[in-house]
Amino acid sequence: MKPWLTFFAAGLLLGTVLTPTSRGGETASMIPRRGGVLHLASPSDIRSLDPAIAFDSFSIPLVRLLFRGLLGYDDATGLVVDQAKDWNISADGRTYTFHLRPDIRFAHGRVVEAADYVFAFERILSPQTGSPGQTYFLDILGAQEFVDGKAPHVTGLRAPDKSTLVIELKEPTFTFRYVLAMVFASPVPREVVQQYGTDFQYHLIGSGPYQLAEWRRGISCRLQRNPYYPGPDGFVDGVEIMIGCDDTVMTMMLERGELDQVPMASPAQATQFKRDPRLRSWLTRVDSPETDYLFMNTEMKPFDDVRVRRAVNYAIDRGRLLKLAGGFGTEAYGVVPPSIPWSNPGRPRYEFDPEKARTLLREAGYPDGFKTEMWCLADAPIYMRLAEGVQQDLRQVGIQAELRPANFTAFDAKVTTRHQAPCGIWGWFQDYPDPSDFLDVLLNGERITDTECNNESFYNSPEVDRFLDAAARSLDPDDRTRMFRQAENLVMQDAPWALLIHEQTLALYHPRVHGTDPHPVWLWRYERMWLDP
Amino acid sequence: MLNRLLTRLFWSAVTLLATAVLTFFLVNAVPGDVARSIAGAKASPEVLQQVREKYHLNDPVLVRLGHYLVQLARGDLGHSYVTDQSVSEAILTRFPTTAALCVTGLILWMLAAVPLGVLTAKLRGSWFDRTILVFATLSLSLPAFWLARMLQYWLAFRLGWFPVAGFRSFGHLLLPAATLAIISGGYYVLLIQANMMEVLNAPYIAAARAKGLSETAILFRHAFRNAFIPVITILGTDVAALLGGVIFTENVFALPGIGTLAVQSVFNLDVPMIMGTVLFSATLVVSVNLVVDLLYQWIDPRIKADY
Amino acid sequence: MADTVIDHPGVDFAPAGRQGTGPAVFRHRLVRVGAAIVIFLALLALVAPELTRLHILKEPIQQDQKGLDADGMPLPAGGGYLLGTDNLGRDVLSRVIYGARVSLTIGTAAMLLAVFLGLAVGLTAGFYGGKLDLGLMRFTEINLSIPAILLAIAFAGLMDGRQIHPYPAAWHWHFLDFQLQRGMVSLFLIIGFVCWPGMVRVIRAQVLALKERDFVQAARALGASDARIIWRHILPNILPTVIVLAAVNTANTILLEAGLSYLGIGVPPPAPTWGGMIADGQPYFVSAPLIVIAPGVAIVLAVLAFNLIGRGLQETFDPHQTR
Repeated sequence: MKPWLTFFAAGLLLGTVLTPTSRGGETASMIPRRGGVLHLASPSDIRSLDPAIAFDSFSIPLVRLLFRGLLGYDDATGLVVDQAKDWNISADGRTYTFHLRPDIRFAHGRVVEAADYVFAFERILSPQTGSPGQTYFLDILGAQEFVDGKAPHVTGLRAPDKSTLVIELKEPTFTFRYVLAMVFASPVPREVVQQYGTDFQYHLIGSGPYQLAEWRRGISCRLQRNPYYPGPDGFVDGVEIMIGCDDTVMTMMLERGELDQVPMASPAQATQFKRDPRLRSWLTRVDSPETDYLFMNTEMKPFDDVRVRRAVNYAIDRGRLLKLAGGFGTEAYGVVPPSIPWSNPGRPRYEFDPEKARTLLREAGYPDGFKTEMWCLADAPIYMRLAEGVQQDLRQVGIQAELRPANFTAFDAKVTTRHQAPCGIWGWFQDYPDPSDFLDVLLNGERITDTECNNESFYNSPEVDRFLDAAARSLDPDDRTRMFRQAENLVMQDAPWALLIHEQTLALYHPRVHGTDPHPVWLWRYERMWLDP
Repeated sequence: MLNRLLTRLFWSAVTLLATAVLTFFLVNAVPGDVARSIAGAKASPEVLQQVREKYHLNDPVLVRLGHYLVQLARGDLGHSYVTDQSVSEAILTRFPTTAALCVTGLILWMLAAVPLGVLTAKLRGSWFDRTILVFATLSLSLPAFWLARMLQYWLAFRLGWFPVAGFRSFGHLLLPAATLAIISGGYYVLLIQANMMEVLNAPYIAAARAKGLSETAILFRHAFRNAFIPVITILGTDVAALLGGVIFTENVFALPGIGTLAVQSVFNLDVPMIMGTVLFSATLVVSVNLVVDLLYQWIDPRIKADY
Repeated sequence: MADTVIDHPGVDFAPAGRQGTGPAVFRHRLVRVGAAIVIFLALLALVAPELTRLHILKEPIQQDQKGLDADGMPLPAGGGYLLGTDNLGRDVLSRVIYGARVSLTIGTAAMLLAVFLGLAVGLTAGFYGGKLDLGLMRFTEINLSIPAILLAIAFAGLMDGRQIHPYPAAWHWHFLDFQLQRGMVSLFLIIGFVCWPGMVRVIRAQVLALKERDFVQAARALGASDARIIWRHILPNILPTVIVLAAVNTANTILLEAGLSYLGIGVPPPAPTWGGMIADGQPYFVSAPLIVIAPGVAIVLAVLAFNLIGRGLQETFDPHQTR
């Protein structure tokens, strides 16, 4: 609550000092107005708005309209309380205690209790739910036994009274606090979930500013106010989401006033708006905490040879790739994106040097290059462009990479299975602002599995793993920074990836919408948006 | 008549059944880890196993066909792999949109094609006749998606005469219906013209003229009706082709109809949904053909159907 | 259902200026125009690689840094790029011409397959009659009730690189394994396969009519074998019908191929396809409309050409179109 008031007070102050402000994006100078309906659109069907299931960058800002939890982020990457009054972590880093705010109610009127959090977390852990967030909660004491069916409840989750929640971890995992800020960690009313079972998706009740009014699958979705939400955000009266139009159509509708936002606009649209003086202010850009990369399967020839992998790194012209992405982003020279509050100034860098690439290939025994397959996502235009760009760069040094575009399911199955895809293009968007979310999740050898493996290059370096484990165990920020730097440097030397770019997330807003400042973690916060009369 | 009806119904049912089997094999014979597309990318192995059991994915193809046919008999088209929504529910909620689009399109193109066809028949050989025919042939050759985009860009976006996309009001249907009308209409102009010319040259028309009936009366009372009958026939067989135009038009104008459902389900590898949409379209085609066939029989009992 | 002789409305252009000199087939003006367009496109398509080698035509596949402006957007027409560049900096004109190679090849190959299958089924059904006829026509009807485009989308959508093991798992006949990949071959197979049912009725009707004709009866009486009758008497006489069908069908196959490429399930990138260019160019329509307009015009031209040929030939072969 408090940070918001400070923000607006400061904003008002600023507003009186600054003279004509530009429209669209400058909440500081205007007082939010309640009312109106926000018109949004989604290119494909929303899979689910259930906090236990939703896990893609488009759904999450919508889920946040319906569900909130203990913690949130301020305007940057700092953790703040949201629906908890206060919290503390024990000295050994294993016990988290939260005191809930007494004024938070679900949309059907009941006050949110600690037991609701326990129920929600157990629901995520339960195999029946099939939640993609299950792994994040396995750090809790007793979670594994609960998942395996050996215990009826999670011993590490306790609600000593209605407004106190205690979470005990197996080990002092530093990053668990970020998990609590994720949408997964939202409370759900147990009686409603038990009543509806799997139909809960169509009767979602949460403690967020809005509730689900109507959902016609594949057609439209409508949200209306949660009358019990204490505020102060949640300005529009309702949100309407149209499902199933593509980028080009959305942009045309935006310009015609039929739509209020084009989320994740393509570089083409963004450039078109950037160039038009009338439309320039409609565009917002935020450095995304994400990395696009070409992974190389270290278990498959010829990428098992580090010289080949380094050659690929030297062969790629990142500047040109960035241009193909419309210039919206930065060239990537490290695994962890710069928008995460962490830096590694000493990391080894691969500059564009095709000669060096050819030399290395010759050394590795491929003087005439070689043929390989490059897998990529067919339904993501940015990845297709990057893929074609990389393909061309590789061709210059003699590597013939045949493109294999596939839809998400086929692609996912292929690249996360052992000995299947020699290389491919993918990206990782942060779950929380910590280097471990990139290094540990994607490049830790100990996490390799035969299928559904997040480590697509199957990179296994015991030294790197040692640093990552040490960082996971430590609670000292400086210590962790040092460990991650060592790990990343080693990874860069071994080059299981060829880094490409860090994208920017682009959004277009109609001038009648305000409060559209981008957020480094959530991308955009609909609950902060308000409309001209 | 009843006998005919029953026979036709029986054969239509057989056709549909055979279509179901054929489509099932075509779509299901190719394996792929469907369990993952149902459970989601990050599901655990236990969840995947549960899913496999629930959808009988481990059973051999023939057993699964059996399950599917039993399901069909109960009227259940299954559930989407991606959203778990009932396939029949998905199709039924979207059908009205597609139907509205098709009917509006049909009305538009009949409104255009009929007068044009009749006029060009009467004014045979004139510059009017020739220009219209050129345009008609041109309209046949337009790709649906391209025409839709052009119309959308120029008339909706640039000029603002129509809404750009979506289906919030009836007005949203006009431009898509116009697209359909243009693409299919050309064929009918030519068809009507050909028929009208033939009819106008027939002896009984000459007789009517000799009797002193006015040209207008001849046109409307005799020629028109007789020229129109083959049009209805072709309309029936054309349903299948019509759906092609519908798919692209709905796509471009973001109309929540069967066309977009079909395309989305293919991209999602949502097998039950693919099966459902194909079966549904097949049912539509078969039903329309049945109706047209019977209508034709009734209008002109001299015509004998072959089978 | 009344069987129609030819599935295409007749057009009776005024006699003046219609007839020309030359072989009967090319006398009709429409046929000349259509054939001229087709020949022009085909020639362009054929010599395109030569033109590229001689640097008259630009490279269609190589991404060109120079082809994009400072913001990474396509260049407008002018300055060496007659129709501007596309989203990856490639010359639009060159891609449109190379696209003709894809469309004409797949279109023709698919048509040939469809005609072959359609002939096989139609001839057999018409000639032999009886139960075989009944069965084959039922089968055709079943195929006809599934909209061709839907089936084509379903097939093409399934071609995402999966491995097919066409044998029971226990046998391990791995030499039979093949991968379903999108490409020219799989595409023309799919399109041909969904198009053949549309031909059968017409062919069958013709065969039925021919079967009763005197010369066929005579041949039978003289003891000619079925094969001989079909080969010497039936086939040559249905040839005109088949040719008209072929022309119109090619128009359809080209449209189908364009549609599949537009949806992204046609020939995979970086191959230049007309439909694919339109799809890729959509986001750039405002700044570079030619990326969408040029391939569209190409499609219309090619399809129109075949439609004109079909109509003209139909006129030639049967000027007194009856319905």
